[in-house]
Amino acid sequence: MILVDQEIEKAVETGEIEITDFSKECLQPASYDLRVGEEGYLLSGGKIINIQNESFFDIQSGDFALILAHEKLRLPTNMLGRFGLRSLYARKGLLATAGPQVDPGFEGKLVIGVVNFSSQNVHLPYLEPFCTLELNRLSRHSVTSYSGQYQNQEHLTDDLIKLMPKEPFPLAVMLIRQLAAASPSLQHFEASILPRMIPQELSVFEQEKAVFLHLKQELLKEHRGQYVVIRGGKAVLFGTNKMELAKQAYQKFGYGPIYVGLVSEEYESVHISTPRVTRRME
Amino acid sequence: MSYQYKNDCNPPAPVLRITIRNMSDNARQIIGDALIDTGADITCLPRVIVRTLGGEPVSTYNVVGIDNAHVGPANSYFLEFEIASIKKLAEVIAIGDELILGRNLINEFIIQLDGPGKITNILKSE
Repeated sequence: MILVDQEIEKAVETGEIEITDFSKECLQPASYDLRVGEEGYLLSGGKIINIQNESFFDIQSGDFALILAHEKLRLPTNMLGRFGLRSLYARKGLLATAGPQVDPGFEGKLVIGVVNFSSQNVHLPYLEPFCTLELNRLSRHSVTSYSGQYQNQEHLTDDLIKLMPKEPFPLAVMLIRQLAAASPSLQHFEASILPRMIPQELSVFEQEKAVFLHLKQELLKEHRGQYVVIRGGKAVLFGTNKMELAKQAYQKFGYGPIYVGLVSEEYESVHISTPRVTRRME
Repeated sequence: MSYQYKNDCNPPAPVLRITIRNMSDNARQIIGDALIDTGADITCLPRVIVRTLGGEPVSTYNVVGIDNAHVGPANSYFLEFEIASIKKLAEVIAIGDELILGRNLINEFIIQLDGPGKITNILKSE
């Protein structure tokens, strides 16, 4: 039997199930929305991102991500959960990868694997409800309780990350490899293009930006704190004054598409403390 | 040079008359009144203005609003500004529906706000 909103609320109130930081706003008619939690991992970035500090989590086109749910759950042995993405994010091109169910007796935070199948970045603010959990009451208590490796999971761990695929754009990579296998003439294409593949439907600016994000880990080794100009898929200029660097780039290459990025682990932020700019942008 | 406060705001708001140009094509320009907003780190322009000027994006910022609320990502552009006959190159973000003069440009000028007289005076530029 699937629990409806008031049954979920009552089960939390009585302690039958635990959902930390429970919010009525996350209650759906027959499910509970889980929010974007404190940690995420992008296959292209190769490191755990503190979403709480960054305040958002961007999943690039073609990238694979792990997202830790904000809520810690505890299910009794007569209840199981199933979860899926909210339709808003499914329509934006995300596809969630998950096991068949959250087992009876599970305790901890769920980690949801997500692939971005769209040609655009998908932006997930911290604490955004992004998937929904359906709770099913079983006919009786199970004899055994979940005791697998994810019991009491509250963070993304190296063990989880090791299980991820190794390619930055898994689906496109798979397709190209299949084409290359079918046609030897495409094998040169596979070898030369695959490692640096950026979706061609992006604008030139977005492509340069994607190159910047791709190169960032490497740039951090020698250019931390500097600005870099990306043009034609390469880092072409470095400097500490963004405006001077942009002027230099425009003088050298003409006024055209470039990306000027700060080589830092943090995203560049600006504060606009006015109610005149509050709209969330897509 | 002096500018009247914008009286259709309640209370009236200090504004500066600005001309914005594409830095590579001075023929593409827009003239308007920009709200002086010391709470804004950076100058903000509506996207339609940036598009009209043919601005090329250069980077993306994470925009944080009141109470550190996340507003969203916004692309930035370098455009030429003319204020009180003084030209300055400045970075702007395309966001919102109004011309908002942020501190990256405000701090280039000595500005006197005469609230009772509802007049903004530009005394000097750095």
